[in-house]
Amino acid sequence: MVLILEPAALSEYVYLSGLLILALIEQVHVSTDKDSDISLIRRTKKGDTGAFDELVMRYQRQIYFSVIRIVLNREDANDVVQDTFIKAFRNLERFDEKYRFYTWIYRIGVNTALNLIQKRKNREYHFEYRDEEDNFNPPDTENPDNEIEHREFKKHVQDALNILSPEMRSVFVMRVYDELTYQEIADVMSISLGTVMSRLNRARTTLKKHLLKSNFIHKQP
Amino acid sequence: MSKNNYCEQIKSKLSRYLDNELSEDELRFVKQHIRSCIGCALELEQLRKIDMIGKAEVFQDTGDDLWLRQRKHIAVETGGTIMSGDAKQKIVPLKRSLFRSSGVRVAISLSAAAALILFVTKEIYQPDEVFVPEESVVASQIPGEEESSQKSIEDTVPDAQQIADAAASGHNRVSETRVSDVAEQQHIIFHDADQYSDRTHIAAFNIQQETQETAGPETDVLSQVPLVQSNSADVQSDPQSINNKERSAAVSAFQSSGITSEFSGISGSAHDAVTLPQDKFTSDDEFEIYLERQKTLQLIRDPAIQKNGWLSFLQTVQEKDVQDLVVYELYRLYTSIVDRGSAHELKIEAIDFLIHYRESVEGFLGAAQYKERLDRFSKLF
Repeated sequence: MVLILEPAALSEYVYLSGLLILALIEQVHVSTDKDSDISLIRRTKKGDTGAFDELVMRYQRQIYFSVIRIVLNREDANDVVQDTFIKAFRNLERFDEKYRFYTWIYRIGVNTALNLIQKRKNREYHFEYRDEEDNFNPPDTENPDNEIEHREFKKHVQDALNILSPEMRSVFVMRVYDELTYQEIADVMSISLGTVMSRLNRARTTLKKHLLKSNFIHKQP
Repeated sequence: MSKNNYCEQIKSKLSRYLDNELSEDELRFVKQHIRSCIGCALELEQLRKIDMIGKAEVFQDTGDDLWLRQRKHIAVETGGTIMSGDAKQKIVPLKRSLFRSSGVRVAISLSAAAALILFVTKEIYQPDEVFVPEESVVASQIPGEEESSQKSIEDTVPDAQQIADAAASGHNRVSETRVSDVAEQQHIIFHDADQYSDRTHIAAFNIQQETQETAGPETDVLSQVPLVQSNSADVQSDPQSINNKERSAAVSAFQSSGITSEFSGISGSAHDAVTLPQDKFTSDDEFEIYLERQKTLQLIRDPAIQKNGWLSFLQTVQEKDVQDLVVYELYRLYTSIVDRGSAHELKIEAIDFLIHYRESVEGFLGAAQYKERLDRFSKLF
């Protein structure tokens, strides 16, 4: 093999190739990090001001739809979501990367919701469902019967959840809506397994009595 | 132990049964009992209905404005910034697309690096410039670079079980598998019968037939799920030749596709009715399927629609105690329909039902209450 090259050209090639490869490696490093919650948390800690917003966007809806079933109120649910993420931001140093970020923030959310209810215990809690505000659920004019039935069903749900105490309601929602296991519920609320089972049984029994009265379910023959 | 005490014991475990929190022994014990005890089975169904309260999607998504306001507020409090652009587009779904996965990015980046090295190497050893060495070395291609990897179709295309698993994975409540995705996958799998086992093909063919029968002639199932009709005699042979697991997998994939929901809940129960063997509920799995179908049908709020599903199912049920269970459900639905002041035809249908199934209804209401209910329905005209 005979190879004749100008030394300058060769070194230039090698140099540029090296730069490009390094840039690609850096890109690989960045792109490996970009998708995960952990990478966003690390970037937040380093001062990346947009990284935490990405986390908020990922999980705000899930947190909202879980906590609204506990607080039964849109404004309160909104407050809980905001407080949850603010608390999470301020305590990011305490987050253990061994665990899922969502699990951690969910726990903060549920406890924030319960604390809010405790603080406002003098206020009567009821789901504020005002038709005139329901701009995103226009009436089904083609099927008015369906619309009426849907609203009746919603009313059943509101009334039923209203009669549960916050502790029973949160355990019930975590089990049935968020589908947590008994152990997971116990961990979130820092209560024992026995307490979880007891609250869940009481929630179902209370709901059963209420739903029998309102004819949502019927007595067994 | 008396039967009542026994049932009380079972009922005390039903909550944990519903939550999958029983030990294996307890689970077997409870399952066995509720298959033969209507009272306890009905109690379980009541619990499922109660849980609907917690699962109900009655809290509306109020739109992007709320989410953006939340983000802004959080950003202000944390000294952060919000990303520009439409909030919806920026949201990363929990199931990330393949393209966004870090593994693919790494692969792409490394491939680009390799390509660059090759290019540079080629340029160095075989420049396009004037000087051409007498002996030149052509940079050899990486072995296999120009060969496309020949994978068998079976390696790349999921089978029925994988489709079912894919449809079910990550979705606790509602499957997001789009009809076209499942249809496309199934079309790929079943297009060439030689490539796949007869069993899988039989399962798909049977599902196709069942769905068409259920949907009725006015609905073109094939246009939605383009399964190829096989001419193979094997396919038309005994459908029991496939095992329940394969059948369940195919049924799950089909049902998860959302196609069956378009058929107003009828196909849900009819599917199970058709998939149950002649001697129904002899296995735990099949009884579980039956109970799951009840849950699915409960989610369809319109009692008139539920009624159709249960009526179809009733026609296929042979076991007397299961018939009674279904008749009770229908009785409850008709009562609900009548109480809502529904259409004249439905009320007549309700009375017909009471008369036709007198024996069963009287059995659980008692003669006096049965008569009272029949009189009450009739007086509404």
